[in-house]
Order: sequence, then C-alpha cells, then structure tokens
Amino acid sequence: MSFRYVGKPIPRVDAREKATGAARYMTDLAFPGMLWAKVKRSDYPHALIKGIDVSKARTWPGVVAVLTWPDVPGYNGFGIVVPDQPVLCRDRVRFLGDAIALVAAQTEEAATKAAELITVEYEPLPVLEDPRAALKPGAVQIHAGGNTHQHNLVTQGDVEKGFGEADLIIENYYVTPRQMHAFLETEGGVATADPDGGITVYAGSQHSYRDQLQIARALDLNPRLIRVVSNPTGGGFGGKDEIVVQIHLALLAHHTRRPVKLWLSREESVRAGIKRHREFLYYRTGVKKDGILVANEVKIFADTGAYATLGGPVVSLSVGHACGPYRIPHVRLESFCVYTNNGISGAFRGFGVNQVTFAMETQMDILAHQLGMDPLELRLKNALRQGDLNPLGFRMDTSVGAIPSLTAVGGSELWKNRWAKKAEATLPWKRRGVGIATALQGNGLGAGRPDYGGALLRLLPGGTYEVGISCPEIGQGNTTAYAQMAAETLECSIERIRVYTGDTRKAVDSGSTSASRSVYTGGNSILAGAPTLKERLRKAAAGLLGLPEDDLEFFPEGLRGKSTSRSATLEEVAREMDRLGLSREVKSTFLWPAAEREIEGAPGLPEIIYAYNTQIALVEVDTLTGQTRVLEVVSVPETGRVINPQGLEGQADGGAVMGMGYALMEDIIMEGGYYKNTNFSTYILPTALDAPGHVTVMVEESEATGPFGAKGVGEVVCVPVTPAITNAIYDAVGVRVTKIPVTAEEAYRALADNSLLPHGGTTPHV
Amino acid sequence: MVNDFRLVRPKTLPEALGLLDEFGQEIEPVAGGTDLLVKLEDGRIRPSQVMDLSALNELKQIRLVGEDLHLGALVTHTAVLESPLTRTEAPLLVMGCRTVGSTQIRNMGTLGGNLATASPAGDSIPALVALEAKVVLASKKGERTLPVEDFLVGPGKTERRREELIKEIILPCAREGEKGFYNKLGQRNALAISIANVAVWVRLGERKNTLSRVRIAFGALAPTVKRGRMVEDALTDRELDEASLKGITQLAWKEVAPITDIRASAQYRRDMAIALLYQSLYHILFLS
Ligand SMILES: Cc1cc2nc3c(=O)[nH]c(=O)nc-3n(C[C@H](O)[C@H](O)[C@H](O)COP(=O)(O)OP(=O)(O)OC[C@H]3O[C@@H](n4cnc5c(N)ncnc54)[C@H](O)[C@@H]3O)c2cc1C
Repeated sequence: MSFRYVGKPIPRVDAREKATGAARYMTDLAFPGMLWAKVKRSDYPHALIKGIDVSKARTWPGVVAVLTWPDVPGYNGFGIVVPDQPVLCRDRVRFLGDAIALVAAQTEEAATKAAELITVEYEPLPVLEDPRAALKPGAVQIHAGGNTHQHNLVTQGDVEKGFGEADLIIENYYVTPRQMHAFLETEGGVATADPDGGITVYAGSQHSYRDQLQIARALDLNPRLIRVVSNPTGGGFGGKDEIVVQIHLALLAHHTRRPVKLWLSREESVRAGIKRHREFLYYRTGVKKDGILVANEVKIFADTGAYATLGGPVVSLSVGHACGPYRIPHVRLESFCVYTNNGISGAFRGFGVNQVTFAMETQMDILAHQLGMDPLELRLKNALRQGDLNPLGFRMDTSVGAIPSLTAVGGSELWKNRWAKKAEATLPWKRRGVGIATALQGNGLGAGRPDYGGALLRLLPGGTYEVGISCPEIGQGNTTAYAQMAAETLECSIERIRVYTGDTRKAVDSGSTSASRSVYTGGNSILAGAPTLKERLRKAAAGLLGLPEDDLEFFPEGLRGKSTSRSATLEEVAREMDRLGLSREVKSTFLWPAAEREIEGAPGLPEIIYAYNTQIALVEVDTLTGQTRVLEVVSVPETGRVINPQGLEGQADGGAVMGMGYALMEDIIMEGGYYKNTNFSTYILPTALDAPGHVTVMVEESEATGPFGAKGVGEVVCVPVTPAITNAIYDAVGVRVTKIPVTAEEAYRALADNSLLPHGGTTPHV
Repeated sequence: MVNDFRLVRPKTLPEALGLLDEFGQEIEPVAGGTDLLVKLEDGRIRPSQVMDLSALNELKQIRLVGEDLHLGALVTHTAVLESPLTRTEAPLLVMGCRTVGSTQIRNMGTLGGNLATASPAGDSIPALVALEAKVVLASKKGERTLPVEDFLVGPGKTERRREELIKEIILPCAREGEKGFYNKLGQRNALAISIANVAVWVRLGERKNTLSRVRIAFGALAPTVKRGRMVEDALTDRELDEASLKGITQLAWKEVAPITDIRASAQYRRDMAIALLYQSLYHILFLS
C-alpha cells in the first residue's frame, strides 16, 4: 500500500513555533494579577511533625495566602496507583521533597521569604536509604502497610532442574543509578480561578485527564470544573506522568481566586521530582554448551522512595523484562519494590526495563565470552520468535522483531568492520572495543489495567478538521504523527488538519503519553472514528453532487465523482451537513488488546505488544585515566511501521545519548536521605560534545493491531545502548562493569586492579 | 535569589578605580558575570553595589610589548582562542582557554574573572603559572605587579585588595624551541569542572629527547594551582624515553595535595596528576 503521509519525513507541525521561540509553554504564561507561589518543604528526610507555625509568613508584606493541611478541602493525598503521598503533610514527612505549606504572594521574592519564615517542629525518625536494609526485621516502618510496596514472584518450569541441565552457570550482582529525567522545563505552571467556580490548571504533564481526576479528589470538586491544559510540555520522559505541582497550583487558585504561578527551580525539581528506580539485582543464568539458555534466576530490590506513584508497575516491568527477548524454559523471577526515605522513583522512559536489560545483557556477554561464542550468534540462537512461549509463560502472538533487529545489526558497517575499527585507537594508552545488546519493551499499560483511547474528530465549517487526542505533546512528535495519520485516514491534505493534545476541554481522554503508547493509541482512535465521519461526508456530498455515494472519492480538498469532474470542497460539504442536520463531529473509543489474564505473581503483566531494539557501540577507553568515549552507536529499532522516519531518528538519537548518560555519568547521589547533587553543575549529563556518531537503521515488521502497522518507539531506543557500551568497555580493556554509571574513576580503579596500568596501579596512600 | 543592588558602569579605568576607592568594601566588580551570577543567584554574596566593567575597552586589548604579551583583564576566553597573537605567542594559554565551559561561557568569561575567582580548577590559570605570567593590579594609588603563582592565596582567595582591579596579565612570548601541552580531565567533554589538570611548558634540549627547561603547573590538585618544581628538575637535561618518563612522572604524586569531593576522590586525583603529566610529556616529546 502506498501512502501520502504515513512513512514520510513530514516536517513537525510544531517545528517553526518551537525553533523560533514563539511557542508558549505553560511556565511561560502570565495573567493579570498573577500571584507567585512557593512550597515549604521538609527539612528532614524522615520525621514526625510536632508543630507548624505560619504566623510570621502570613503577616509578611505581599503575602496573600499561606496554606497547610487543613486547607485541603478533599482527600489529602495523591498517587496514580495508591494515593499515599500527602498534598500537604500533617503529622509526618517521609522525604526531603514532602510539601508542608504553600505560600502565594504578590512577588516571587515575597513568597520565597515568607516560605523561609515558616517554622516546623520535628521529631526526627531513623532514615532508611537502602531497600535491602528497609526489609530487615525491626526497620522503622515508613507506611502503615510496611516497607514492601509490592512483592512479585514469577516461576516457570523448575529453575533448579534447569540449572541441573546447564553446562555453565554464572552468577552476578548489579547496581543501577537513580537517573533523573532532566527535562529542560522543570515542573511548573499557572492556575486560574474561573468565573463558574472552576479551576484551570496550565502545567506541563503527561496525562491531563488523570491530573484532572487527582486534582478533583483533593479539592472535592466535580472533575468537570477542573480544566487541565498541558500542551506543549517541555520534556517529560516519564517524570511528568505523576502530579508534582498541579494540585498545589489548583489549591492556591481555589483559595485566592486569583491566577497563581508555581515553577520549581532546578534544585527544587531535583528535591521533589521523580527519578528512575535504583535497583540492586542478583542474576544467576544457566546455559548449555551449545549456547541454549536453560535457566534464569533473578532477584531485584528496587528503591521506590517515600511514596508509591508508579513504583509497583515499574518494578513489575523489571520482572516482565528480566529475561530479555529470549526463550528460557526455567525461571524464577522475584522483586521487592521497597519504600525508603530517598527521593521518589516512578515512571521513567524504559519503565523498569533499563535496569534488567543492563544486567541480562551483561550476563549474555559474559556467557558468550565463557562459551567462546560470538555475542551476536548467542543472542540470535535464543531470540524469541512470533508464537514462542515467553519465559513468563505467555505466547508472543504479536510481531516479534528481535531476530530482524539482531540480523540487521550484524549487517551494519560498524559490526562488519569492528576489528578494523578497534585497531584504529589513536594513542598508545587508548583501547577500543565494540559491544552489543538487545532489548524488548512492552507497549501499553499491560494486563488488568484498562487501556483505552479516544479521538474527537470534527469538520469545521471552514473545511478543516480538528483532531483532539488528549495524550500531551511532550516533545516527541505525537502531534505530527496524529496529523499524518488523520490526513491519511480522512484522505485530505495535511494542511487541513489541526491537532489538539493535552487539553481536557479540546480533546477526549486518550490516556497518558507514556508506556510508548501515544502513537498507537492516537492512531487507532483516529482509525476508529474516521469511517463514521467520512460516511456522513459522503452522504452530504452525494446529495450536493447528485451522484451515488459509491461513485464518490475523497481528494485532498474535498470529495469528487470518480468518473466525473464534479467535486465539492470540504467547506461546501460541511455546509451541506449542517443543512441536513448531520453532525460534523465524532468521538471515537479504542480499547487496547490485552492479555486474558494477569501473570500470577506479577500484577499488570504481561503486555501484549512489544517493540525491539538492538544497539552496538564503539568505545575508546583511556587506560591511564579510565575515561570512556563513545565514538559510534548503531541503533536498530523494530517498532512496527514507522509513521515518521525523521521522528524516529530524533527519538533514536536522543535515546542513544540518554542511555549513554545512564551508563557513564548520571546518578542522583543520596546520603542519609539528602541529595548530594542538586543541579546540573554536579548532576552530569552528556553534552553535544559527548554524543557519539549515531546511525539508525529501521527494521519494519508491520504490527497487525497497530495503526498502519505501527508500534511504540519512545522508550526502547534508550534501553540496550547502556549494556552495549559497558560490554564494549569489556571488549576494550577487560573490565567487567556491574555497577553503573561507570565513571572514569571507577573504570580506572578496576583497571588498576587488573594491573594494566603502565605505572602499575594506584599510588600508595600517604 | 539575587538581591537588589545598585549597578554602576564606569566608562574609564580611573573612574572605576575611583569608585572602588570610595566603595571598595561593598562593591563587587563584574566582567563576564559567569562566576558572579552563580554566586548572586545562590545567595553566596549579596553586594549592595555591582560595578559592570564591560565599558572599559582599555582592558580588552591583547598587545605585544617587547618580548612580552600583555592581555587585558577583560580579554575573553574566546578572544584568546581567536587572536593571531595568542596563537603564536601563547599557544599553551590557548589550549587552556579552549577547555573552559562551552562556547557561550567562553564568549562571556574573562581571564581577569578566571584569575579573581581563583578556583583551584580554573582552566586558564595552570597555563599562566607554567608560563610564569605576572598579574598587574591597579588602584587609585598606583599599580603593583605580582607573579600569578604568588597572587593565588587559596581557593577563592587572592592578593587582590578590595580597592584594586586586575588590570592585565603579562607573559613572556613563546620562543623558538618551546612547546607546551594542556591536559584536562573532566567528567565530560564540555561544561566540565576539572577533576584534575596539568599545564606543561618546555624548552627542547639540543640533544634529542631532552628538555633544557621545564615548567609544570597542576590544577585542582591543591588549594591553589601548584607548580611542580621537583618533577621539573627531575625532567631537565636528561635523556627521556617512555620508561624513564613513566618513572619520573610518578614523582607528581609528591607534588600535590588534592581533596575528595563529589567529582572525584583525593586518591584518584593524585593518580591523575601522574597520568595527565605522563600523557602531556609523551605528546610533547614523541607525538609532535
Ligand atoms: C556553566 C559554567 C561553566 C564553566 N566552566 C568553566 C571551566 O570549564 N573552566 C573554568 O576555568 N571556569 C569555568 N567557569 C567559570 C567562569 O566561566 C570562569 O572563571 C570565567 O573566566 C570567569 O570570568 P568572568 O568574566 O565571567 O567573571 P565574573 O563572573 O565577571 O567575575 C568573577 C569574579 O572576579 C571578579 N572580577 C572580574 N574581573 C575582575 C577584574 N578585572 N579585577 C578584579 N576582579 C575582577 C568579580 O568581582 C567576581 O568576584 C564556568 C562557569 C559556568 C557558569
């Protein structure tokens, strides 16, 4: 089938506005009479609150409102799965980001000063910073239900029997960092009080409709009175899936009846915002001499921080993806998602898959070396095919791209020429290596969680279409993909499509921009609604043109007779529809395919649809300093039919760099519940000068359930690159990385231990 | 958050020095602002007056005076990279300034600001110390000249008095047979504060693989940028090969006294003094 828009590098519909700086993000907005807000946050990582004194703040010049827990009219809690995080803390704080009071004042300065004047009396409690320690008997309980937020255990086959059959068994421990989303636009926005008693919250977000519900619950207001606008959002990566500022904004607007702005500084964003789960992983993997995997035992301790948010689902995905895209008959997979007094962990691009992929793909690399097998061949030998039973015991019924992706990587220039590339190291103390890793990534919300979408399709009198799908544009380009798919489906020129996302007034609820789901959901929602609308157009046009309906066809500007030159523009058709009393609007609903039952021991598993990606990296390690430079990366995502190749390349470029930061640099370091790096001067992200040369090779395995065959792209592109890099470091210098990020210092220490240094290891202590 | 202050913008150096003489205690000069704004923002300093130096064109010159190069305090890192004079007469300084921050930071940040900030990790300073540069301080009462090495007192501390401005930096021009290397180790390739760095400036000896004069300065490895006189002596006037270089550069760890911070441990930094020095000398002797 040939398409006009799908699969074409259509320029982003928001490119001009964003490139010129004309686009207004929610934190750019200002309204007459707007107040500034500040949050008084906890001074301790864990403490009982004995008293809150806001009297000095209330009387500070310029202060309009100071709110504490009694000012929350509704339920004083939020959280997507369990609302266990207080909007404003009453008697206890569980991490440094906990909010205790809100201040709104005429100026930002006055609000800051007043927030500083709030005094809180605490009784400090013991601080839990390691999930393993938090599980010990006698540990202080962070929540009434104990410190285990979720425990998963999945078994298939008989793992001990599997190890009995193995010719080689390896066992390792892995540690992964608390990566930060580091979106450019920190959490923030403006809320206004509307004349009808309602509230409008303008704030970057990944799920406007769920924000609406969570705000309504805290304010005890009919959700219809709450409007949430979150388009465009200045980066999300999962970090804006959960509420951070939205309820505070609404609460202040509700009490003051004035516009209020709250915009977290980078330091406050680090303190209060969400991170990736730090995980401690144990892996024991058994393989036959010929490379066939027979058993895998995995145990995961995940630090979910003080509150639940999406910790449970994230760690479920760790379990679901712990074995990678391989057939393994005997598995035992266990996880503990544990509360601590560290910053909250929740959704983050990859959603629990990054951690286990790092571990599993390192296991695979070690196995390949110990078996003397080519690492690509070992993966190909075990890779899942469509129809196979997955290690968790469910059948892979939808498209499976592991082998096509692996095969394509094998054909890439970098892989074919890796020996020559490795020999090109520039200085005597530099060594080069090439590493490979592969991954799968579930799309959608998984079993037992209704995953739905919807689109509002409306033909306007002027002959353009409005397409309203609520999944916010967070920078990844779903708006453009929607425009492409809508123009393709409605068979009109793309200029006639206006897309609205992230606005509860202009779009129907389509769920979140998360879980690699926005293109799949939005596209299917368009496909679900378009036929009804087109039928009505056809009916109206038939009357206008005096032709039978099946003699009509759509053309970019309207409808025309197939065999005559008679045509009607969309504008004319719209007018005719009004005359006939035919509605120009359709609201569609789309339900995701879902597994019939959940996997025992793992809520939410499995997902039905998976995207795949194989990545290889060429690195150069300085053996004297331990520094690693990633020179080249090749990514081979298999994400179904590509809707916009340019968009996919953008995602893959960014994903490769994000996964590289995870491997080499990024970690929010916490000690005793306190943040050690609080902004970008010490939280080290890759810069443009650190980015490798990157090539994206697209493998398109059409997915039957996807719109035009598409699956989700957004996450899998950042996943396998991490172990590809650490495996390349091993290939270069023989240092096996089991803890990331591997900084220059850590690599150097390992090198010194291996005595590869010309000057024979570290200098003596003095 | 930045406090309210009065901004003054003198047009000439005497005017600026007059203001300093009058308000020295409460006035904070600002050149590119890349250090000062960070301190203002996080409230580390709350001056009542800020003196914007950007109109003092006389401090933006790079001039050749006899055998010396004079660089005004307001010369930016970018100006150092782009000037034909610095490229031929002070290539080591060019190498140092190239590693500062990013293009945006180099466009704004100045040599005077880098020196006045006196960070042990400042990237132009090791080059200045290895080149035995001097700093000229001016006040209403007159001028005084100090070696850069002596100007630095501690982290963030210098010999500058409140009523003085850094006027210029003077360094000897590169001579025939002189070469250098600046080696910075950061956590990434741009916008990185040095974990450790070293600047090496040598005069090649008459015999192959010998050095008749060696100047070494270590950065981020002591409370101030620090000369490595012991290693300098050990390297001077002897035939060097890979093996002897490895041996002699080990002495570097006796020259330095680094600390542990969020970027690196003291132990690693000390090792890096050796590694970076070895690599620098290897480049100078065997690769160029
Ligand atoms: C993102 C970022 C990255 C950076 N990266 C690096 C880096 O890689 N390497 C590095 O070395 N530095 C780096 N810096 C620090 C800074 O850019 C440099 O130190 C720069 O040279 C400072 O110059 P400035 O003109 O901006 O100083 P300013 O901020 O204007 O001034 C700094 C201090 O010097 C005083 N001062 C300035 N000029 C004079 C003068 N003529 N006489 C007396 N006092 C004076 C000011 O009063 C102030 O106290 C970075 C800074 C930032 C914000």
